[in-house]
Amino acid sequence: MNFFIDFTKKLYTSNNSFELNLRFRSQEKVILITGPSGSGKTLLLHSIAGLIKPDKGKIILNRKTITHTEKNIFIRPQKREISYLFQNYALFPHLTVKQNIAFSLVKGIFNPRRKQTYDLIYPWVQRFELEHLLDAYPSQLSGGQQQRVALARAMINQPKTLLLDEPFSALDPSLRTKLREEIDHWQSLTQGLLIIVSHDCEDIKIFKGSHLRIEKGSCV
Amino acid sequence: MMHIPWVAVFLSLKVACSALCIDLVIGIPLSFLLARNKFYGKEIFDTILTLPMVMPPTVMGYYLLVALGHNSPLGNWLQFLGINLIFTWQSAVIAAVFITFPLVVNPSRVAFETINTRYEHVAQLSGISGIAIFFRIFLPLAWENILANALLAFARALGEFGATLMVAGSIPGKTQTMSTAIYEAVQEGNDYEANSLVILLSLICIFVLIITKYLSSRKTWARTE
Repeated sequence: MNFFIDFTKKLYTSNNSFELNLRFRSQEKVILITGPSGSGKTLLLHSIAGLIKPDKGKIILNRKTITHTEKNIFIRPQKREISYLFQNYALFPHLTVKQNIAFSLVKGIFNPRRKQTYDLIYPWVQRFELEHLLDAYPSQLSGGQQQRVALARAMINQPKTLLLDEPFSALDPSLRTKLREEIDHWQSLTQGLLIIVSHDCEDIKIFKGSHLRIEKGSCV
Repeated sequence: MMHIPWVAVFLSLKVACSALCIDLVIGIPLSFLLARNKFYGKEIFDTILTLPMVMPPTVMGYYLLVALGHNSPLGNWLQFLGINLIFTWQSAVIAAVFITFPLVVNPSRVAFETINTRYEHVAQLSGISGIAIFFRIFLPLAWENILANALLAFARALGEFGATLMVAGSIPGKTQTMSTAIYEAVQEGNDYEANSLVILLSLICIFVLIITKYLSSRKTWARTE
């Protein structure tokens, strides 16, 4: 199974609780998750990424069981080969564009050096036209530039799964087309699994794949 | 400036620097743990940590005196090891640490708490281990804030009087710091020495505050975000 989820997760806030109870399977390479805000879409992405641990159940990604509470399987996010493109990109504000992109290439307790050259980033830097921005800080970039940096940072991990959280919401039409091309390119290269969260109906038309709709923590 | 007891000045600096180092080494990991974890009794622990900010330093000094004295289990044990802390400059360091600890821990904790969890998520998915994330994400993002407050703690430690006098006394050349020397000078009617020390201490504190201001107003990546 390419994509299989069957799990529950209960969350408590100060005065109420929210239960996520999802069951879905698919053989497709693109999974589209839609639903109103507060329905649990982001929680689902976090569960897939291993950033939160389901109370009970199982998650399979690319034929690999990454979470199975009964068998006590929970692969750490570090080992999941997933890249997650956050809605506001979450670029590290204290690092330059170059350091951001090279972030995962250096594993120790020090960040990539500002002055050093990292050859591995250049294919992506060229592809996303970031050559002239390498020494800039995220706060100096426009929204579209930030997204390209975030995408380059996500790609350099060579992920087998790409999670996108509302990728098109902040972009104008020409940038949307460009981003879509990049994602298509990635998928044709790697045959990776693409999981997109959106509350925009347009996205459903653009991407062909399985459609999972969530409302109030359950599949519809 | 001839009448400044430089021994006291250097002792003050030595005590304040040592206290600051201890504050940072213990305080940064502790504030990180407090920012990240919920545990039973956290609120009480928090209250005790903040207590030195509201209690008179003499009361804190009295607690320390009792805790380190010969009649307490800790003091007994130290004596068994051949260590006597009362009326030594080391006890002045302990007093300064007690008084300044909340000045380091509370703001550091807030600095860690306000860091967006998404940075950590991205780093985790990039294959970076937890300890490396602390050094690569949390510490650099919180550092300026921590440093600015550490300097305030340093200035506070430099002027520590009440608790220091209780546990370390004011032995000239041994445990007398600038603030206790000022007190002694005034008592003895040595106005010239008192004036010189007061001016020097004020200048050092103003200098530290200017650096703190500069650090917290510097326009960098973090604040333009």
